[in-house]
Order: sequence, then C-alpha cells, then structure tokens
Amino acid sequence: MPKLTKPILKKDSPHRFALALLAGAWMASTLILADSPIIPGYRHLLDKPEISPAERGELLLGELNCVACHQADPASQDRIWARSAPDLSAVGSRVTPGFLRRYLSDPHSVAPGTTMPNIFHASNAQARDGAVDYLLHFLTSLGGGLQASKTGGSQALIEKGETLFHSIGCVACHGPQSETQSLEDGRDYIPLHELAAKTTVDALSQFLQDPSKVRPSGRMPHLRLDAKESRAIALYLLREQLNNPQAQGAAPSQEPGIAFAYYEIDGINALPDFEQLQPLKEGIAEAITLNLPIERRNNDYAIRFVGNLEVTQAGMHTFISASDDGSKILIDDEVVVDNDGIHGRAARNGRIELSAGSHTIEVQFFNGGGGAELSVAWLPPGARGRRGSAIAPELLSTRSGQPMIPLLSESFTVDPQKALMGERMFAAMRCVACHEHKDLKPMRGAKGLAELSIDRAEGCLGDQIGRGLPDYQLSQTQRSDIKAALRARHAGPLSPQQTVQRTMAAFNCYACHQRDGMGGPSSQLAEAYFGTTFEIDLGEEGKIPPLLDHAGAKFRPEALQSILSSDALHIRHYMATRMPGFPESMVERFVEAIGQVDDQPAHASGPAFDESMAGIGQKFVGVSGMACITCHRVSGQDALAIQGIDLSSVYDRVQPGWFRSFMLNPAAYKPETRMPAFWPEGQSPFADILGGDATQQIDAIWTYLSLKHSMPLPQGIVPKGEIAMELVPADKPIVHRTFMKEVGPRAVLTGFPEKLNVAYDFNVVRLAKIWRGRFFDHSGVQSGRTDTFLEPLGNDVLDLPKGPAFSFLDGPDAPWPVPALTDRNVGGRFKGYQLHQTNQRPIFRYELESVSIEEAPEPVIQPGGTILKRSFSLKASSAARGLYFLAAEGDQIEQIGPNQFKVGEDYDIELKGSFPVEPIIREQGTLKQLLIPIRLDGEAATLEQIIQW
Amino acid sequence: MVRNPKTVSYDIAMTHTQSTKGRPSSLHSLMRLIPLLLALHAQCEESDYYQIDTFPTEALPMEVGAMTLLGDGNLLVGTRRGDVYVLENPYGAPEAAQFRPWARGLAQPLGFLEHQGWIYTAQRGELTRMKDADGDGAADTFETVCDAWDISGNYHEYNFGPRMDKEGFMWITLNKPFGGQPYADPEIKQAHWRGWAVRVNPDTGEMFPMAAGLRSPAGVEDSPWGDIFYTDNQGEWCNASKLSHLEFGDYHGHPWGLPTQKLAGEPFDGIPQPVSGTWMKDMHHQIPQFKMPAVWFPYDKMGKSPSGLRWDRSEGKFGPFANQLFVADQHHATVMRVVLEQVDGHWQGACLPFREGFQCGIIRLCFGQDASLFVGMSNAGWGGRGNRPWGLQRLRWTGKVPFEIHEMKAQPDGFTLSFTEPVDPATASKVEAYAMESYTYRLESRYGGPEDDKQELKVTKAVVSEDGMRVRLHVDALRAGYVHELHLEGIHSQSQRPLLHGEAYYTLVNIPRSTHL
Repeated sequence: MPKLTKPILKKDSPHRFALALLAGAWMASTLILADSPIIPGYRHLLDKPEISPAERGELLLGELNCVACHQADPASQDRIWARSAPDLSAVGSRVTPGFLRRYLSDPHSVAPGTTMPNIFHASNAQARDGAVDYLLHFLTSLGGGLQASKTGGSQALIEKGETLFHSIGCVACHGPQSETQSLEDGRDYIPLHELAAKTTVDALSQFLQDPSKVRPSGRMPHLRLDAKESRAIALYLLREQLNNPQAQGAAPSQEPGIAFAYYEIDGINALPDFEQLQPLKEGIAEAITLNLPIERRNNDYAIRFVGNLEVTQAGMHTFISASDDGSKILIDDEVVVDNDGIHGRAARNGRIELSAGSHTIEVQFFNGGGGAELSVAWLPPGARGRRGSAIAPELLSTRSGQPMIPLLSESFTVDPQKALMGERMFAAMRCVACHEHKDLKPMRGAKGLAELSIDRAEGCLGDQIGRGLPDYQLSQTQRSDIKAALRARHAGPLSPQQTVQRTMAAFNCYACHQRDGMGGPSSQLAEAYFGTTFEIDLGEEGKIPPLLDHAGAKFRPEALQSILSSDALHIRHYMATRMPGFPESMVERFVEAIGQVDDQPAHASGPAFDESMAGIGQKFVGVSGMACITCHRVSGQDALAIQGIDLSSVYDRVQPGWFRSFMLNPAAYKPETRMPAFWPEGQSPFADILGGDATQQIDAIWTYLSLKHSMPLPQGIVPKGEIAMELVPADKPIVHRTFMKEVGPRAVLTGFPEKLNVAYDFNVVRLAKIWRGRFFDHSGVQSGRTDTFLEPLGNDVLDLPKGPAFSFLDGPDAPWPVPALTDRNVGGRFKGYQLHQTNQRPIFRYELESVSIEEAPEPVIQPGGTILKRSFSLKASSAARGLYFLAAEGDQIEQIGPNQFKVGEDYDIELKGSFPVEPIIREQGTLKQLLIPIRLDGEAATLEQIIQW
Repeated sequence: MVRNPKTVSYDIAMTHTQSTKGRPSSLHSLMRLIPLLLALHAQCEESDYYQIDTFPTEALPMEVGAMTLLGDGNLLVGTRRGDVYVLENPYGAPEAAQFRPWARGLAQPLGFLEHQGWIYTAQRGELTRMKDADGDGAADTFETVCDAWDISGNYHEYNFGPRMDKEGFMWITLNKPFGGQPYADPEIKQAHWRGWAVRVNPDTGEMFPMAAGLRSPAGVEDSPWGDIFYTDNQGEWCNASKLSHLEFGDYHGHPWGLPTQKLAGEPFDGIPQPVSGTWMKDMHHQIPQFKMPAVWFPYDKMGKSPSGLRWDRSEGKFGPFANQLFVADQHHATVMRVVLEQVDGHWQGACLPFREGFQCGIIRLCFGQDASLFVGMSNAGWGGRGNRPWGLQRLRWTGKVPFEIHEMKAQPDGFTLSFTEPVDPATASKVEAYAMESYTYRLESRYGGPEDDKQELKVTKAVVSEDGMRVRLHVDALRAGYVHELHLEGIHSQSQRPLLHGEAYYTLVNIPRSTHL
C-alpha cells in the first residue's frame, strides 16, 4: 500500500452517519433534490469556449445513452458514443431490495446526480409502487439473491481502505468521502450514495476488482486492486455497516475460536499463496495450534488460520511464531512475523502498534517433512519476557472482523409471479433499452434522433416531461446543449482533435490529466490527495499525473496502448495515484486520434544501431557525462539522488524524434519539469565527443537506451540488489551455482553485465533458460535453511529444449533423449569451467563419450536487448559418427534464411559451423526439432548458434 | 552426583572458602558467595591463557564454511554463500588484515584442501578443484573432480570435506536431507549416497563408499596418524552428538542412506533397518558393522552441534595440548578439547571444555602458520550463542599455561588423570574431590535422546603420582559403553591455583584389560 507523504483527512464517524441515515434520510424520497446528471468531463468542456454547445450535446447524448431509444442516423453514429448501462443480469446478488425499491421509485432523490432517469415522475404513487414492486421482484430474482458477506470488518482495515481510497486516485472522480471535507473547486464528482444500504462488502469488493463485469462501458475503470486492497476499500465505503444496529439482533456471527483450512502440497518448501489454493479440510480450532480436529498427513501440508483478535489494550504488541517448518503471522493483512522457509524449530518475532478493539489475525504454517511444530505467542503492551504467552482463546473469534450487513436490511422473498410480471414491465418501461436483458426488446419504439421534436414541452427535454418518458433532471444548459447537437446534426466522424477531447471528457481523463489547458485535478484536490509513495523531491511532477500535451508525439502508439489498457509501462513508481485500465475499444480510438493530432516528430526511426555509439551513450548517462543517473534509475538500480523514471523503460515508451527534441529543450514540452536542458542553445558541454554535435550526442544516448533491460550500468551507479541477496553483475560476469526452478539442483548460472543471463542444467547438461535484465536472487538457498527453487529475476525469459544439447543418435530419425526428473549426465558429463583471462566470461566444458565439448555463451548487444551467441568447440580423439546438436525445439520451426530459423513465435536462431551445416527439421511427439548433424571427421569442429528473442 | 556446570562452580567456591578460610559450612548465604565467586573468576579466566582476536567482518557476509592455509601463510576463507577470499596478513593486528576476493558462486563450500597447487572443495553437487592459473590473484579454473553423488534439492544436503587419508584418497561426508526433496530418485524416494562417507581418488575422480549411517556429519578430519574422524550432530537416530572414527565398512546408526547399499555392494549389502530403542552398546549384536562413537558430547554440557575439528600439530606452540584434538561447536560458540586413546582397537576418549565466548556458532577451525587457531563462524539457519551473524576470529595462546586436566585415560579399574602442572596432593588425594557418574544412550528414531541408565560411581581411591603430574583414580563399577562424567572439586595446583575447568566426559566403549600409562 502506498504511503502518503501527506496526511490524509481525519476519519469521520460512521456511526453518526448511520444514525442520520436511519433517523431521516429515508424521508429524502419526499424531498426534491434537483441535481442534474453528473458527467464530470462535461464540466471541463463547459469551461472551454472553443468547444461548441453542439459538441457538448453530443457528449451528453452518448453519456446519457439517449441513443438507446432514439437511434442515431448512420451519418452521426460515429459522433455519439453510447455509454452502456450497468449489466443487471446478476443485480439481485449485489444490491439490496430496499435500495432497489427506493432507487427505482425515485433515482434522483436517492442518488442525486445519477444518470439513471426517473421513469415514474409523472405516475401516481400507487401506480408507481405497483410497478416498482414487480420490477423489484424481477431484479432481485436475478443472480441468486444477496448473500451475507463472508468477510467482516474492523476499524483498522477500514482505515487502510480510507487511506487507499484517498491516495490511489478514487478521489479524482468521486471526490473525498469524508463528510467534513467538501471541496468547492468548481469540479463535478460522482457521488457515492447510500452504499452502506445498497450492497455488501463481498459484492463491492468483487466489483472493485473488475468493475467492467458490471459496468462494461469502462467509465468506472479498474485500478489494479488486489483482493486485499479491494476488500479494504469496500470495507471503508461500507463503514456504516460496522455499527448497523440490525447486526446486533442478528445471530452471533463471531464464534469463539479461529477458522482453519488444511492444504496438501507435494514438495512444499515455502508458504504458498493461499488465495490460489483450495483447502482439503476446513474447521474451527479453539486456539492457534497444530492440535486440530482433523486427520492430516505427516509431510507436505500447509495450514492457514484466519480469525479476529480482540485487543484489549492499545499499544505496541509483539508476536512470536516458533515453528518447524515455516510460518507467518499477519495482523490486519500486514506481515508482522515472517518465519518462512524450511527449518527446524525456529522462533521469530515482530512488533506492531495496535489500537484497542478488533483486528484480523492470520497465521500461516507449512511442514515440508520431518518434525512439525507451531507455537504462536504474543506480548501485549507491558508484558515482559522473551517467550510471551499464548493468545487466550476468548480473544479469538472466527470471523475475520465484525459482521457487516447492509443498513436497513429487510427480509425479502421473491414472488415468482411478480418477478415474471416485473420482467414484462422491464421491457414495457423500456428499461431493456439501456440494460440489456436476454433478447428482450423494448415494447414501444421511439423516434430516431433525427426525427425528434426538439422543443416539445412534454418531450424528454421539455418542462413537463410526459408520463412514461424518462426524466433525467437535466439542467438548462444540458438541455440546450443537447438541443444544439440535435439541431446542428453534425455528420461524419469526429475529427482527431474532437476524438481526443471527447474521450478525455467521457472517460474523465481530465480528472487527472491536463491537455489543451483543460483538466487536471483542482489545486485543492491535488494539494490534499495527490501524493507520492515515498519521499521524493520531484515537486508536482512526482505527484500529479503528467500533462498530455504532445503525448501523441511522445509515445509510441503501442506503448500508449499498453499504458491505457494494461499494467505495462506504468513507470512512475513514486506516484501514489494509479493509472487505471480502460477498455480496448476506447484505447484504440484514442491512440489513433492522438497520434494524428500531435505534431509528428521528424526522425521517426531513430539512428541506426552502432555498438560504439551505445558505449558513448553509456558514458553520457554516467557521472562523467551528463550524470543522468543523478535523477534517473537504471534497470532497477538506484539513482544517486532522486529516484526518478527508470531509463531502461524509455526506449519502449517514447519515439526517437520526440526524444531528440525533448532532450534539446525539455521545458518546451513540460513547463514545470525539473529536467535541465543539457545542450543549452544546442551547445554541448562535451565539445570533444562526436565533434560536440548535440544531435549526435543525443543519438548516442538513444542508442544506449535502445539496449533496454540489457543496458550495462553507467559509471557511478553502485549496483545493489533490490532484495537482500540479489546478485548484480557489474563490471564482470557472475558465474553462480545454485538451485533453480525448472533448471534443477545442479544449476550453473551466469549473469553478464550486458544484462544477459543464462542458466545451465548440469544434471542433464543443457542450456535451460536465458533471460534479460536482473539476474538472480540468491536467497532461495542462502537465507538460513532454505532450498527454494527460485525463478529468474529479470524479464524476457526463454525456455530452451528440455533434452541435452548434444547426443549420439543411431540415425536422424532416432528419438532425442527425454530426460526424467532425476536423470543425470544425459548430454555428457560436466567437467567444470574456465573464466576468460580478460573479460572473465565462462567457458563450460563437458564430455560426451569420446567427445570433449567447450561451450562459451556470450552476450551480443543490440537494440531491444542483448542476444546470445553460443560458441561450441568440439574435439575427439577419433572421428565421431552420429553426433547431433539439438538447435531448437518448438511447436513450429520454419527456415527463414540460409541457416536461419524461426522457432514458433518465441525466438530466431542462426547457425554457423566449421563444417557445412545441414539442418534437419523433424517431429518428435507434438514438437518440432531442429537437429544439426555434427561433422567431426578430423580432430576438431566448431559450431556457433545465435539466439535472438 | 552430577550437577549442571553452574551448580558445580558454586560448590567449587564453597570448597575453596572452606579450605582456605576454615569457615563453617553454614555459610550458605548466596549473598556471601557472590563476591567470592567473582574473585575466583577473576583469578582464572580462559582469556588469560587463550586470547580471542576479532577480524572486522561487518562489511562482508563472512559466513565461514571452509578454511585452509595457503603456502604463503595466508588464509583461504570460503563462505556459506559461496564467496572465497584470501585473508592477507592474517597474523598481525586483525584490523590490518585484508580480505581479497578470490572466487565466487560456489554452492555451499564447506571444506577446503590444498593439494598439488589446487584448492579442492566439496560443493553441493560435486568435488571441485580450482586454481588461479593466470596468476592474476583470482581463481579462473574450476574443474569437476567427482559428482557421483546425488542431490535431491534439499537444503540439508550439505557436503563436508575433503580431507586426505594416508593412502592419498579424499574423504567427503554427505548430510542426509531434512524436508522436501523435489529431485528425489523415484525408486527410493530420496537421493542416493546421502548419509554416507565416501572417498574419492583425486587423480581419477572415482568415488568409493566408505561408511554408512551418518546423519549430519558437519566436520571431517584426518588425524596425525592418517585416519579419518568425523563429528555428527544429535537428532533422529542420534541421541547425542559424537565424534566417530571412520573406517571402511562402518555403519554409524542412521538408517537414512541404507537404500543406497545396493549401489555400494559389500560389505554394506544387507545392513538391516536398526531397531529403534536398542542400547548403542548392544547394536553390534544386531548389526555387526555398527560402529560405536569415539566420544559422545553430552547434550548442552558439551555443546549441541559439533562441527569443525583440528588436531594441534604445533608441537607445543599452541600451549600444553600438543597432539590433542580441538572440536568446535556451532551452537555454544565454543571450542572443546578431545583426548583419544586406542583401547582394544577402538579409538575412544574424553572431551573437555577449553574456550568459550566466540562471537557466534563455529563451523570451521584452522591452525595458522604461527600456531594460532582461526575460528570461522556463521549463524545462518542455526541460531546459537553469541551476538553476531557471522565472523572470523583468531585464538592465540598467551604463553601462560593454564592449570587444567591434561589427559584422561581409562584403566581396568578407573582412570588416570594427568595435569598441566603438579597438583597439590592435599587436595587431589581426597576422594571427595571427585564426583562421577555414568550413563549411556540408545539408538532411537526420536530427535535426540536422554542420558540413560544413569548411575553414580564411587571413587574409592585417588593416588597422586610422585611428581604430582598424575592422579590415579580407582572407581567402583566402570561400565563399558557408557559416558563417565567426572567433576573435580577443590583441587589445586602446587602453586595453589584452582583448575580452570574441572570436568571431563570419557566415553568408555572398551575397558582396558591391563593398566597402562
């Protein structure tokens, strides 16, 4: 969870709000709260005189989904982007009947600002209530009914949720939620009305993890919340439920004891991710011990205890877990004691400051083999001693928090007859026009957009909207804008500029980003809720999402696409606000348009790759050059002063032409940037390098950046693992023996400074994995008693064939050996390695029968990342017949040039031999194999394989 | 009557006050004892005789797992993380010594041996030899000598050694695993050769099985007469930690590695699963190949996890214990002393306290050129005494001779103790000055076991030799196959010094048939 560098608002009293709600808020249905529908982006357009009322009207026609009833004619279809309404196919499983009833009866009073129109505004109360009742039975029948939330809440988790809500960007659209905090910044925020009476913690938390399931329009984007984050935010938003008086009368939902779940996992050697596992057995234990009322096996199992801990005294608490093998204690989802890994009885402790009251406690345990032991103890404030005392059973309860049930819950039984009537009503009232349901069609048609009588007083836009027509409670401006759009009847698609602005308004990009002088968070909002995840001196640049002026020129289209729709290339790790994910359809349209609008950079393809230029670039970036590393990280390594954007991401994100112009004058693109101009007036401070030519020098940096994760570290960076036992090759390669996942217990790894990494499996004698970027975490076998088979730390991991590199075959059709898990020396016997005298690169040696083989893996730098060259040198005392090299294996192997092959979508290889290479592509099982017969007629032969991926 | 060491030291103090001041024994007030105790401790401290120097290792994770002396006197130090350093200038002020990186990336090297210009080390996967062929100060050539044993991918499969025997073979002891084994042989559900001692022909790389039944053999060492001994750690099928003599064909009691017998062949073929609960001394009836330990280290009294061991071959430069064996403990951060003798063909003897207070659990010992003892340590994975996570220290003899039991040897009817200086016959000839009891252990599947079948023994006579250097103890009812734990109380040297340590633990496997010196 990001830590705010700014204090966030004080917490309000959920209790008070709940009482207020109970005391009178329901009467609200009789009050008139005439809020017009809130479309936050609309407000931004209003502030911009260049944007015509008709354009604003088109936005509204889409956002209010007018076109669901009034079909747009083909000429204007592309201008009006219908915003689909929530999917109600399972609404009964997430919304309470009480809320639905009130909301259907009068959406505007229950949720002022909603875009849901009132259908019953002109109906008499009796008719309305009858129709609402049918609809209610119908809607409640959808999705199997509302289940009580399995997870309960606690004040501590609610506070976590509050911090998250107010730091990761929720406030940009919804505004701060504290009652004491009301912003008057002239912006529109989408209110969250009566949530505590509307839904349950589980339902809301599920929604927050992927809002697009219920709201396919994408207006509510996902913020990449994990299960715990979404639960915390849900708990916070529904915090009034914590003190729901109805829960007190309800059956006690907290039983004494603690819930446990039992799992069996073969070969377990560390605590698993329990969220991904299905328990074999579950139950309730009196206390956190292994003395459980279940049968369990002796080895290879894990147990998780989850419950609620009643803290009687606020203050610093110490928790102790002594276990054999590993264990963890989490309080309020925070790891307090980490005693993971295979070990004999070992005790670890941790401290946490706790308020009095209820907190969640989770204890995880596993046993690989041998003795099993778990003893959990604590030292409440003031307690002395080292061992602590057991947690008294009466302080434990089974729920992971206090029960939370929706306010004003009522018991409700669906009457199938009424539900059936409701379904008909759903079509009759034209609800289906917006909320699709099966293949139901609206019973009555409506005029097309072009045929509407705009000024009719009884129409949707009139002053006395007729019975049965939707009342959106539009403001005067909204009405006149819509009328303007209908009158103007603009035809044809939007211009790229309009597309960009329309997108940013519809999806509320303006909430965070400024472009064309529109948008960005208000200064009050920015001041209070836009922070950084750690203390970083980047000023506003560190807190506020970037200006989007020139974004179309800056970003590679595919990069922008990734940023908008996936987690990739979100590189502002210091910014607390998260970039949300948007639907593909929106992203494609936007990326294309913004690319057309913004000035296209000259020099679109960038300089041709040149190894010496990369070296010069590396010097510029280092301390003896421009010292970019003062403020920029490189490949995960810390910068010297300010931990700004990692340079290894630049090449993937930005266009070469923009890079040139930006480097010459950063302030022209980002007025407030801290990035200095290193070539003032185009003059280089390094007149003796590349003739002092600014453009060439910038191209050298670009060439260096093109190595991406393979960028060798520039001078001045002090390499440090991001984690305690990370191995970081700096000035020479690291050859390292270890256990490695999918490579085995006789793995020999090499990490090159060029950010190429290779892993050999010398049980089988084969090159098993290659990857780029970060090398390896050594803690898997080195922190205490551990034997965790870890994966590579870096990226672009490529798995190579499972069989040995070389083998003798009876003929070209004979099967290639398929080693079993424990088979050894299938491809010969490993004989060790020699480090090259100058560059310290290893040359591995192995013997296969009479043939002695040397293999030298070497990095070859090139744009996009270093590739691998394997040089083999084979010697035999006598001619060796029937020896083959397995050059590749994959679903598809295709020859793409002389001795060049494409292996599936994964990689390309190129081969050179001291003998004529006569490749054989053949099938073995479901895979294709590329074999090279080795011609070792004389005493020696060489073979070179280049792997590009 | 045997008490824990703390109680014993109180009693020594009591005796002391009685004999020198003649106070009545009613002086049982603890308040009065404390200053006397302090005075006594001030009088004889281990550090007066053996001083610990500490090399600064805060900056490097010096989790020492392997050490050997290089030809030039520098010390080669390997860490559990796989880094190897040359400690240059190791004999002067510790701050002046320098760690120079020599190699890295090894998998848990837990022993070094220099042989013909190569450094041999047993890594997890293989016996490797390495050297600096181009002379640039760092190793560049790493050759696999032997990788004939399997590893299942379990953390506990450590390998120790090599040490060379008198026939020129290199011995390696192989730990058994503990917990998950992802690369287990599907047939036996584990990896082969775990729990075995093997030796390797360094010229051919051929591996020969030598002994089975090892558990966690954290130290392996060649004796001055060319035999191989090893230390094993208390655990399942090992009720007490021990030092054992390794000979071809031995079985040491742990059943883990027995399935490998089919690969080992004679004389191992057919060792059955031992019956849990059998007295150790009776095991040879069940399994003829069963080997009794040379020395048991009673749990908590003499450490908890014996590890590295070295004989003092300095001919007196390390003090009065020439040719004796020094054994480190990974839990107590101590170095113990062991004296051995061969009785009826079996090596047996006593362990005695020597020096405590190192900065964490000790893994390796190595004598330096100047006969100082390098002590390498790490607490990674196994907590122990001391306040540091790792370290390298140096133990130096100050030149002063402590008043200590020098040796303890078995006699048909008792023991002979020798001392480092003449004893005061008035104190040493009293039988009340000697408290003794005996106990033994079972071979059991449980994790560690109690001192069993305990019996107090009566010292009937204590005869001081003419030169005062020896005391012959006559003891009622010695028992073969039992630890004989001895506590000395109130014995002074002729110069009226108290003993620095007054306890010894003799593992009496065989009772000698005739008196010897």
